[in-house]
Amino acid sequence: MKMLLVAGLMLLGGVSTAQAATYTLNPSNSRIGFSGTHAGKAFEGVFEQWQGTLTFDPSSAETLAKSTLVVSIRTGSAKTGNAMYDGTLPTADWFDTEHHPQAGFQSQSIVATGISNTFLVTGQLNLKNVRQPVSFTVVVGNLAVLNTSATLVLDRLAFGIGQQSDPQAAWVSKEIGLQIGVAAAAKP
Amino acid sequence: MTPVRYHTAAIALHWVMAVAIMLMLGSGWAMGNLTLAPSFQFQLYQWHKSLGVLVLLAAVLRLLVRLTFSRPPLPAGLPMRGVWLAHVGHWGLYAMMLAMPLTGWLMVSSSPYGLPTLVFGWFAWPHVPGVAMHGVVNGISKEAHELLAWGFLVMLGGHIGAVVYHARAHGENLVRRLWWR
Repeated sequence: MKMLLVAGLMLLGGVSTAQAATYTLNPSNSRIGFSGTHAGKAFEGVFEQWQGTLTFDPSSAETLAKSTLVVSIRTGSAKTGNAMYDGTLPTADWFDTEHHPQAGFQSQSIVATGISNTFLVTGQLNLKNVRQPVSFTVVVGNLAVLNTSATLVLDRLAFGIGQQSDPQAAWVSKEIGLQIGVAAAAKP
Repeated sequence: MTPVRYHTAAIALHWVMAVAIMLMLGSGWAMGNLTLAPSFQFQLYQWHKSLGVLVLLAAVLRLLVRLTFSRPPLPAGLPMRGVWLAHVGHWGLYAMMLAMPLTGWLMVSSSPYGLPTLVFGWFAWPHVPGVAMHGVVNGISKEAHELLAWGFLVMLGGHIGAVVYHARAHGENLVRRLWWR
C-alpha cells in the first residue's frame, strides 16, 4: 500500500514535469546583445526593449513539436553607449526605425539534436521587412528556471542594413553577432 | 576717427580662424587623398566635422564684427586696382569662410552614412533638413566642397602674397593692423 502511494506520487511528479513550460522573456530576465566591428574596432550593444514567449516541452517528440518561440524587438531600443553609433542606428539605411519599429522572430521548429539537452531552434527572422531563416542551438537543463544562451551570426546586408552606406563592409563588418542570454523562471 | 588696427574681436577671430582654416584644409586633403587606418580616418572625419561647425559659427561672428566696427584705412596711395583687389579679396575670403562649412554641412546632412555631427562630443549639431540620403545633393555638395577648398587655397595664397608684396614693394607692415602692438 505504502509502495503504491509512493509509485503514485512519482507518477504525478512525472506528469507535472511533462507539462509544457511557458516563459515570458524580456530584458528583466534575459538579454539580446549584438556585436560587430566598425573602422576596425569592436563594438557591442544591447536591445533595451523587447519581449518574447517560449513554450517548451521536451518530454516527448510530440510535445516538443508543439514548442514555440516568438520574440518581438523594438529596433529603436538598440544601444551601444556610443553616441555616434546610437545616433546612426535608427536612420533609414540602418534599422530605419521610423518604417520598421519592430523586428521579430517566429520559430518554425524546435528539435532535439541528439546531444543531451541540446535543441536546435529554427525560424524566421523578420528585420526591416526582410524574412530570413535563422537557426541556433540551445542547451536546456532545468525547466523550472531556464538558464541558457545562444549565439548566432547574421549577415546585415541580407537584411538591407547599411546597404547604401557600406555595401562593401569597408567600415562596418558584414557579420553581426547576436548574443542571447536567458535566465527565466517558468510561468506557474 | 579711423582706428590704426582692426577691432580686438576681429584680430582674435582672424588668427584663431587662420589656424583653424589651415587645419581644415590640411585634414580635408588628408581625408580625401591619403590611405589611412580606418579607425583614424573615421576619427579624422568626425574631428573635421566638429571643427567645421565651430568655424561656421566663428565666420558668422566674424562677419558681424566686420559689419559692426570700423576698420583701419587701406594703405595710402593704393591704386584703384589695389583697392578693388582688396575688396574682392576680403569679401571673397568671407564668402569662403561661410561657403566651405555650409557645403560641408550639406554634405554631411545628405551623406549615405547618416552619421550625426557631435561637436567634439559636446553637443549634437543638426543636419540640414530634407536632404537625408539625397544622392544628388550629396554629389553636388561634395564636388563644391572640394572645388571651393582649392579656390580657398588660391585666395589665401593671394591674401598672404599681398602682405608680402606690400612689405617688399612699399615697406608696409600690414600685419600690424591685425596685432595688438
